[in-house]
Amino acid sequence: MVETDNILTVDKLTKHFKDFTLQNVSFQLPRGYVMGFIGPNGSGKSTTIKLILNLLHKDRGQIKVFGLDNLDHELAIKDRLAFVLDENHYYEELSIRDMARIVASFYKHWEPQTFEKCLKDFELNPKQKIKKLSKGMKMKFSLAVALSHGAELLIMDEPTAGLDPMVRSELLEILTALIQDERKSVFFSTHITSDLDKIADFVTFIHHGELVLSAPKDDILEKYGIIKGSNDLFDEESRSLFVGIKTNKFGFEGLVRDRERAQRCYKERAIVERPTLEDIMLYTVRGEQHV
Amino acid sequence: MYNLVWKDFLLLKRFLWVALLYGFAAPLAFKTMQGGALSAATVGTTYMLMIQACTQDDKNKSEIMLNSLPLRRRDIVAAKYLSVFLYAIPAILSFFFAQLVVSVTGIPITIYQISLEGIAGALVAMAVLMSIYFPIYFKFGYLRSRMVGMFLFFACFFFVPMAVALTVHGLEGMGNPTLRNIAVVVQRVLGWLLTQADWQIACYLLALSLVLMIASACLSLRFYSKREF
Repeated sequence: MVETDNILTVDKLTKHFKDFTLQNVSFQLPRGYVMGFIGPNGSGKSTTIKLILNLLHKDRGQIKVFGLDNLDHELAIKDRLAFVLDENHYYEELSIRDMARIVASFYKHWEPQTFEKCLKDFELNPKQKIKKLSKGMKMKFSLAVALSHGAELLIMDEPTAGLDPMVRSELLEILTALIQDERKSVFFSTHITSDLDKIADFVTFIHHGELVLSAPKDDILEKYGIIKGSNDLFDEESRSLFVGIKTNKFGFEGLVRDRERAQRCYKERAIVERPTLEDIMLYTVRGEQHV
Repeated sequence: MYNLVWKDFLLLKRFLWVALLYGFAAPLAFKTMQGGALSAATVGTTYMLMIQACTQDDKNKSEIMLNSLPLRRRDIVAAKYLSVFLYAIPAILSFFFAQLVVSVTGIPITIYQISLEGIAGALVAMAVLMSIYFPIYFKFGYLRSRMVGMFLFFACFFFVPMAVALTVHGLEGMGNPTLRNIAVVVQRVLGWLLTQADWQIACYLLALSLVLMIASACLSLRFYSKREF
């Protein structure tokens, strides 16, 4: 078996649908890191995850997990990865205990003690039926299952969507604890970019099925910038600096890809700020906007 | 694969009693059908349990979860076919139990006595139904295949016995020459079968249904491996 430093490699991944295309998406996640996979709803995040899990069939491109082709070594890969999907797909009529027994039977390295500890930590009653669990509890149950078979890669599709701030915070704490083990990696799709502020090492951003950027989070936040100034500073020449811009009668505010260049260009005449991931996503998606 | 079968039984735990009750009541309800009563009990029970298992898979789109686990799609397909045979066991046993109750208590009801030939016939009827239904289920999913399943289920009860009756008795009334030719061939095969011993007939029917099921399973697997979730 071939092992590489990249735990997940997606190369020129393409999938056509009737009304949407995922086009040449490429990125790599090194082992031991957390990658946030961001983009607005309908940008292709779930499609990419389903292609990694072979729930959808790709048209072109290659996916390697643990350095292995995801189709040729599907079983071996799935035994070593864990998934948490955006909604509950477990059997609602079953109890937590019965559902876990079923799932456990498919994994080579199920760890009953870890599962019991997770149930205790997450305050889940094993006798309770899944249909009786709240959305947050269902997510915790999915996470308990995901953490109980020694998976090296955890793939999560919008795990925080629809959760209250308390549960979201708990979930992020669990993930922070998980990645203390440097062999484990997390690939985490979300449109709530604030979730990634604390835990993501890398960010991959897609929009309309195309890759916008994929880089270390700190590099992105260092490189990009928010520029605010009066409208007379904003001309045709400087327009090319901006990824997205919002103007009104008082002035403009925009996102630039190269903060240093913008600083050189505007000197003291404009305010230059460090953006958040949310700024980067919003300005990229909206482009130019006049209010 | 066996853990998938076990999974279906866990999901069907609370429906097994209904199935057993149906299997027990079928010989009394279908006593006029003679040999067909065991088929009705077996097909009815297995269809009920099989549809329930498919409903549970469909309910929360659980196939997404199953296909994300380390298991092959061929195992998912094979488990569904294997489960059906296991569902037939409680059906036949409860039919046998009903027969036992009637004979021990002396209740004045004539019910069909289970024979090897009868069991083979019931399994063949069940195999035919599943062999047609499963490829459609694996191609289109539960929701879109539900109507086809219902149609096949009622066909097993009404159209098949009617066709058999026409083949055996009613050739004179059959106007269509093609249908008449088919009926003649079927009648000859039946005539030949009647010259065989019971165990031979059972073997032929079981072999035939096995071939049909294998062909159906291959088709199901082909469809399911192309399915997207």
